[in-house]
Amino acid sequence: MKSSYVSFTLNGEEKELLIEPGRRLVDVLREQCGATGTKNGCGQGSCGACTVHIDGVAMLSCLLPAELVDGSEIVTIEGVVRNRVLHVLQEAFLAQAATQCGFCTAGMIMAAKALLDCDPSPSRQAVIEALSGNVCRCTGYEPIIAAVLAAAATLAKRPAAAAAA
Amino acid sequence: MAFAVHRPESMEAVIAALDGTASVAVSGGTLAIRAINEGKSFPLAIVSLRRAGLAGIAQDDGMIEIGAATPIAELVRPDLAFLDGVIASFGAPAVRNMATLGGNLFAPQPYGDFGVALLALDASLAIAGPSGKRRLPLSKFYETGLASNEIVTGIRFAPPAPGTWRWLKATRRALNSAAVIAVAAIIETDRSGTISAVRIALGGVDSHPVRSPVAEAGLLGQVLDSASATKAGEAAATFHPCFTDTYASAWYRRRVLPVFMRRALLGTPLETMP
Repeated sequence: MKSSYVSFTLNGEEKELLIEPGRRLVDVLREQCGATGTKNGCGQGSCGACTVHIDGVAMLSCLLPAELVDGSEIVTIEGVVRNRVLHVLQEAFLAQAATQCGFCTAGMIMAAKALLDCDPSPSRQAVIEALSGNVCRCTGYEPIIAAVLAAAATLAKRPAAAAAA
Repeated sequence: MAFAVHRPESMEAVIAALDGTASVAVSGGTLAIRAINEGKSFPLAIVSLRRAGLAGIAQDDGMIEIGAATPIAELVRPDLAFLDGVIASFGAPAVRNMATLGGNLFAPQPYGDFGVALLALDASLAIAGPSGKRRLPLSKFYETGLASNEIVTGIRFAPPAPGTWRWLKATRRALNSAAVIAVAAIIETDRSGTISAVRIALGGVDSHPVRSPVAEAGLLGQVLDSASATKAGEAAATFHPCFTDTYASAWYRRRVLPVFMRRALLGTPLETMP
């Protein structure tokens, strides 16, 4: 029942943390790293609120014992902000009123960013598919879909921003 | 939570780490870690398959061999294009990035779509354990399970001939929804349209994915059309027990099985479905 050291990069910053055996990444992020943007929702992989990027791939941090991300590069919602400037997706969520209570928003944006990272101009159907694992109980999804499409349109107009995002 | 998390770096080290204690092998974690989070599983040790070299896809002698720890998302590739429909109906993107092909064989119904698809492909499993390696047909695996401390290391099958593969899943929602009924089939017809070879596997009808011998027997030698496909579905709906869960009642599953059997086998495009 020994704790062990786990090291990873969190939003570009090197971390080395003493982890209790099997502690979930979502708890480590929130309670040991202070990165509370990532939410702990269902603990089942059903709601997507805990979505983070592990080595560029969207994964569910409630289903990952932290030992398994040793040596990985982790990006959370805190890491999509650059120089205190919101990400295009975050601006779009604000503009489209795609956030109500906000609990799902971090996961939605990380899932949407995973889509835009590989498909910068997705169809509406591709957006719906990309967000199919993220539950929102407030918005009815339409403003969220509109926000992701709007962010993609903004990125298309600003190729430099797209490269930086 | 567990008392230890092991990350062995070879198959042999995985077997050794599983030995002795109340340990659980974890591949993607979408089933095993979920069960721990829900308080339904209390392993003393988690043995991760992530670093054991069990991921990857290889082809030899016309067969495809997929490492058990290969994530579902990595099955999206041109030589496995026939599986695109199964992948699209399976979970959501983040789950597909984590869940693995080997792990899905352990998913309880109505999950485990790849078990259904792989049964129709007549897949066999590579298994490793304390007493060595063996191969086991997937259909046997569902009857016997594995011995203590054994793991599935690979899945092997012949890719279907062009135009013979069928997959259709009845779901409550369009995306990210478990099977009400899942139908996977390989169906070959001769020049006259008579069915010369057929394998049909079903999800949502029993405690694990199953082949449907009654549907297969009813179709072999028949002309593939709406009537023969529906009749095979009706036979299957009578033969298999079906079950009630939060997604559908057993009655509903029996009711839609013939319809989805027909749509699966005839390959009716969604837009024109009656």
